[in-house]
Amino acid sequence: MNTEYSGQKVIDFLQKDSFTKWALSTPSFEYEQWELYFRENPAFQTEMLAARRFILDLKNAESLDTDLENQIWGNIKSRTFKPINFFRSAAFRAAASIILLLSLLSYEYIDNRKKNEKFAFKNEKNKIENSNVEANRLELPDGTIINLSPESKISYPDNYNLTERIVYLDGEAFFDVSKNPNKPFYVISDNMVTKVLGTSFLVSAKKGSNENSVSVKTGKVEVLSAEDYEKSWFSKEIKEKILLEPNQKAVFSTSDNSFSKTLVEMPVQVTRQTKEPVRLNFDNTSAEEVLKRLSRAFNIEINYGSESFKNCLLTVDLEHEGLYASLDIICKTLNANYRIVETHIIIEGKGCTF
Amino acid sequence: MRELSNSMANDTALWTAFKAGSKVAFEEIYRREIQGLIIYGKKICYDYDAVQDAIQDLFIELWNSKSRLSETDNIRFYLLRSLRNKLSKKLPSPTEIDFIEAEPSIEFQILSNDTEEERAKYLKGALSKLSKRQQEAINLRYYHELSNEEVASIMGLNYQSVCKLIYSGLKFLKKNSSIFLLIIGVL
Repeated sequence: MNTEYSGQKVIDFLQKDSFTKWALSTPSFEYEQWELYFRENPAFQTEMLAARRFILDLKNAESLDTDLENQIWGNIKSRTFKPINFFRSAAFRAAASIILLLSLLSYEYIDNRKKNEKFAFKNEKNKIENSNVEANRLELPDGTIINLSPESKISYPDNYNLTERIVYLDGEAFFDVSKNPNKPFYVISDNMVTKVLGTSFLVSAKKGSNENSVSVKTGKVEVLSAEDYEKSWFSKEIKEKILLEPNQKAVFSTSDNSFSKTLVEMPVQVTRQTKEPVRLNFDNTSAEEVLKRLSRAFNIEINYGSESFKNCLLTVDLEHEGLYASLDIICKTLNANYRIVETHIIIEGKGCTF
Repeated sequence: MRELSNSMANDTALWTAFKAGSKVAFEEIYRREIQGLIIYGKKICYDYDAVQDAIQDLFIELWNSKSRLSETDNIRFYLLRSLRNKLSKKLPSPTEIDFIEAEPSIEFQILSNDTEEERAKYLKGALSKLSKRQQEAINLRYYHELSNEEVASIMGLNYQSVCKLIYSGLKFLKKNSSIFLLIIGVL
């Protein structure tokens, strides 16, 4: 036995606030100081280790009750979680491939009270930050592929694939989500929650913005605010859920806490796996037919006031043009104008009389 | 209270995810803290059914009121304090003797080659001789890693009283010197 050993000294160490954390190797500001103290004071090492041993023994003296843990959890679950029905809707399930663009327009918070991270990077271990110039390819435990853009970070919980799949994003990322209807995939960013069951979409969300948006390229996506997402657990009634179709975009404004629907900046032709692609090469075709096909190709409703568009004949190749370029060409030829109203396009002009 | 902030980065983020409605975050908070809460609850309250009910209600209320909860940087502290408030009516009367410093009645015959399990058993025996409040303070300080100040806040005592409770508790365990000697023995 060590006769130099002082029980009083052991108690002295135990009384220091931060000693417990050193003893249990819990990270703390004082941890390094204690490490240093330990190395530089060989005379007290015995007492420090004795005090540490005491704390460890105290921990070991308590028995764990996993049966009770699971029993209480079962009771809690049955009284809190209710099924979310609308995400099991047919439309949602039918979504084949989803490309989603979620972007937050840069905006500085006027409210500087909260300096806290708005994003829930709950797990430092599963946090990936891309500070390179090029996108970074990652794979999540369920096989989901993420292409993380530069200056973006993403994190996911330890039990990511347990009952649901949640990722937190600050920045931009392309997701190729492995399909699993039983485990919805959530992208949580700022004030908005986007849920999908599969497959691929692009999310770009810059932190510190008050305007979020979700843009869908193909497939269907449901978007709702974080606030409504919470409510959806307890009630089937959702104040505002947005169903987005290809080339549609939902813009969430934090100032009035609501979504507005519009079209994406660069609509692309909707890919159809079963149907053959819509031909956009026209030879002496009526403007009515041209607009009808454009509408189908981009999955966007096009309205025109004048019946006389039937009489206009167009010879034009729009195969490789974007929607807006096509509309520009058509409108120029017909001496008409177009404007976007919500998710529709309205064409105004006199049409043709001959 | 610098100690408060060291686990803050993780805790704040977990709490934020939970407040945003993440079931995953909710379960993680539960799994992380439940055993400590059960142990703490049983330390302060003899009625184990009441402890179980209180913990259950605590988490259900936590879920139902998550959007109204404040930003917190120490989940454990929050949960321990809430549990104690819930059990406040069931706690032993404050007239119970706070400080037990008498020699333990049981004889400790511990050899230095005893296993961890055996040591834990002896320590448990010695701990059970302490007053409920000493046990509570020691549990909060060394099991839950709270600071003296946080323990004082939870127990509704001033800082000095908490230091005294813990000091007297440790002194009692030291008098039962075989435990501390044993500690030396296994170094």
